[in-house]
Amino acid sequence: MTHRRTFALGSLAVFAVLGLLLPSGIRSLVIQIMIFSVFAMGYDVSLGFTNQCSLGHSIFFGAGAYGAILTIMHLKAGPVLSLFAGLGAGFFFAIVLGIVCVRLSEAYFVIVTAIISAVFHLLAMDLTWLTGGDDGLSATIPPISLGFAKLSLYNPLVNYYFVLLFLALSYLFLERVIKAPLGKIFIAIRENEKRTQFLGYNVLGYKLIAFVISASLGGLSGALYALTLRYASADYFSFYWSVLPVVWCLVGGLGTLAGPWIGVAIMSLFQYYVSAWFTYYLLLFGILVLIVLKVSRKGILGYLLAKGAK
Amino acid sequence: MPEWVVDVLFLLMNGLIWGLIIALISLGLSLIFGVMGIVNMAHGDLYMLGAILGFSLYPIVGNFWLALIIVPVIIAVIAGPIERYVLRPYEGYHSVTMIATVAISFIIQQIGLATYGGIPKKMPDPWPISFSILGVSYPGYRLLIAAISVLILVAVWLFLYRTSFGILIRASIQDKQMASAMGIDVNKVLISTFVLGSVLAAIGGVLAAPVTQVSYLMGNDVALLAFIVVIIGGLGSLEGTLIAALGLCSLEGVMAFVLTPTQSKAAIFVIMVIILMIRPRGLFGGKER
Amino acid sequence: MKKWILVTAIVAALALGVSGDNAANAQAKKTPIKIGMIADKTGGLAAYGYSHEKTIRAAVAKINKEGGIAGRPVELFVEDTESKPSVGALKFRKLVETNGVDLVLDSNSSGVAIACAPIAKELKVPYFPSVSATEVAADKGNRYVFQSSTNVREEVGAAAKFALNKIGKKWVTVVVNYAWGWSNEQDFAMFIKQNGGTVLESIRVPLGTSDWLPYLKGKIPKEADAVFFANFGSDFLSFIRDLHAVRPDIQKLGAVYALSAQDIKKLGAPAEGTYCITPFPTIASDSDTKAAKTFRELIGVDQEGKEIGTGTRFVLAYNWGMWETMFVLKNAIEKSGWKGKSDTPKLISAIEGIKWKESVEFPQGDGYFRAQDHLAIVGLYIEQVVNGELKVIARIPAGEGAYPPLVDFTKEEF
Repeated sequence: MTHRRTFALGSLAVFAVLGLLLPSGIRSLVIQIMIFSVFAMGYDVSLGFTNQCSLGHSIFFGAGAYGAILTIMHLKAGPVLSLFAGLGAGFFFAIVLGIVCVRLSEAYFVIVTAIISAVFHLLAMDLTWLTGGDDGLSATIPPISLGFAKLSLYNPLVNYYFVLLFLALSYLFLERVIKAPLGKIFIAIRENEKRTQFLGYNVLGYKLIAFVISASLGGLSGALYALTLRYASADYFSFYWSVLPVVWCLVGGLGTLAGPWIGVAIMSLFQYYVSAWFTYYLLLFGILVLIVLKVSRKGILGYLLAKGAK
Repeated sequence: MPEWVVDVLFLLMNGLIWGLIIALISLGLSLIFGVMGIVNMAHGDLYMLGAILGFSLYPIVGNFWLALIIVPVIIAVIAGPIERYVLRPYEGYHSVTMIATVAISFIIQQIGLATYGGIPKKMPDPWPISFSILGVSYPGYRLLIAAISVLILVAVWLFLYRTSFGILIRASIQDKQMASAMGIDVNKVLISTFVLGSVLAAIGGVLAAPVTQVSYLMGNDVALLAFIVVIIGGLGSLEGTLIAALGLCSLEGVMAFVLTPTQSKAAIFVIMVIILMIRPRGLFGGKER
Repeated sequence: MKKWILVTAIVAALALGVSGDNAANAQAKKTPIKIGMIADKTGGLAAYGYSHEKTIRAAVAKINKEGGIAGRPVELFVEDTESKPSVGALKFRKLVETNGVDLVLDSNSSGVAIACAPIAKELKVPYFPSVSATEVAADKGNRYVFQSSTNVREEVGAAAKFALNKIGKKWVTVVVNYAWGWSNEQDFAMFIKQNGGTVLESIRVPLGTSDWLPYLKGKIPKEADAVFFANFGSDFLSFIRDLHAVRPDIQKLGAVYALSAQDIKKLGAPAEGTYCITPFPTIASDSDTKAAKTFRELIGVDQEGKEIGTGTRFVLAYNWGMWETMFVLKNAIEKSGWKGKSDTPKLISAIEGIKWKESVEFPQGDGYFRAQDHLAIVGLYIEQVVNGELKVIARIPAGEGAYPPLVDFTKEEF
């Protein structure tokens, strides 16, 4: 378990240093990697820790993005407040959806979450007065006022460390949750749901908590993304954003919190670099995923941790 | 007969015919789920592959019907090894298998884009004859789709209910562990089911190609509809899938008469939620999986 | 002694550094001008990305063959948007930050264009998307963005008079149910009313509907004499077939791109007589100008707009915009004396209001970039299906029916 922590804390330290060293192009890419890492890590709580394979997380990502953009546009909120609005949006929708879906058995859960996310996508495309539809909404992001200074997200370094701060906070929060009794119950549910039920735990209740935590981080990630791109669109609700977290987690390593960061990094690097010389890079990425799964069902970090434990 | 009745009947007919194609595709999905427990994210892309192969073969073999026979063979040759070498190793690990099907979906889609291209194309009508029904001309090809789909559905039903191997497949849907304990070669069942399911999707693609646009992304919308059908009908239930497919598609066709496009789509969703609230396992859903 | 060597070395290095700068400026004539392109190579708009890339590469080849821009060769960088605004935004940044481009062209996706517009301003890079969303020449654009294409309001505005005088007075609009359809519907209604006609009914149909009968049957008033439609692909095929079943007599006018990529001969009677607005003739004909013919040769398409060798259909209705933008840039860079990033405001000012005349470099016809909203103001063509063939039957001069600008970017700070 400590190896996992070391990896996560080490990665955070690497991110911190890279922010100062990287040229602007790769730095923008790493900002994106960090934002998606929040999303992936949150998703890991749902899939990796309580076995809930949701295909509807794009709802929370999109809601988070719009929570941020809309509060900035209509309520003149600052970036930090808008982040919490995004997180809150994710939280809210998770409770509503969770109450309906968490009780469904495995495959039904997967498919119903997928269908609901498709409906959200449809609604987002149609309600153009609110969401801007497919064209989306772009907003000017006000600076963060700290009383003694104003920090503008338009400064790439500010943007970078702002995102890194929330990645670190999210990780530390989740790490505490996993260490706490709550986390142990999650793992118990993952290992054997029926037995945990027999031991008297309200399994549905705990699954809902995991789902809500996971979705809230999805919302936070969506908000960070909207702030960084200064843009939100109905496309954020599309199925693509529901599938990506699952891919990230399985490639990177389920149930490790920081393992999915590896999945994010690999896919983002592929998209950034490979796409330029081979248009059909997704084909190569698909093959890579199959190879990774072949070598280790537990993903890359899972594999490394298992080897390290020997 | 009042005009609006004729209109509604036509809508019903179109809906039913499209429903038959969706039934083929959803049946494949339901079988794959029922026997293998896999949520097959590449199912829509097998439909697309069938359509693209049908489109490409048509000018080569000159005969649509020949293409309809050749395509399933090609798909079977592709699907078999996929099950054996890509999916079977993860048997029992559902999310891993699902991601494997996602990876396959990426691969198939990109191959489709690279070979067929990004431009949606229209396939010529294989039977450009119209029949006069109730005073309006109805395309002959659509009636043919109906006939062929029904034939295939009957054939599949006969296979599953009247042949010994088909009964093995159904037994595996009911209880795989029991089936295995009784000495059934589960591996054979797995690969046959996956091939059958994929072939059904591909045939759906070939049949649909002349009435819709053939593009490398055409699988996505159909896959979603197939998933809704399978949920409403009940995972693993074949009758449920058929009824849900026909019902949903005819309903959507008729609703277009009175509702706006967005309202129609939302209505489908509302229907699904209502059904799930009354029967959480779908109309004919089986026991806990 | 050592101290003096050190001081001399430092001074020499500084001197070299300074002169190195001058040398760099002298070298600037030879260093390439880097231009980026965010193409929709995969995803829903993959059809556009393919032909846009080919067209721009042909333009770059022609420019380099003829000596480059201001004596400097052009270097093209192409990235894939995957038809998604988020990926488009990432690749826009990549082109500027990693590849170091000075200018960015393309995407046909309004979502991508709207996502990238603020980034263009932030990074101070002029951006030329190929989108027809009217908002780009309005609240979603900015001083760094130029709309290198006709937008919906412009297209419909140009055709309105012709529609009323030559096609019909009482209209019904039938559009596909998303932003592009809605724009066409609303703008058409506005212009028709302005010019004295009426729109009796507005019908919206979901994308991908194979059966248009329920939307058309009984929904078109008897007194309507013409239909304006905005759909394409298989939607168009279903529409034209079902409309013919319901109202074979009615006149039809299609929005831009409605008839694109169709095999007109195979359409038969239902399509006969259909009019269509287009920014560039779909089919080559003898009445084409030499400029248009040469343009087709240079980008490698045949009479029907299909790529010679592969048979892939080009999107000529939008390709011309990317081709012509390359030459606008050549003219504007040479006229303004732009050398690098710091000169960008000069370049933008030079493009605002820049005019062009019909030629191989501007095969679409005369036109100009309107200074206030950065919209390409050009003429349009009206095509009609006559005896199974698509022919250009009218040309609308640049600026006719052009709507007044909705913004004034010239007042915006750089």
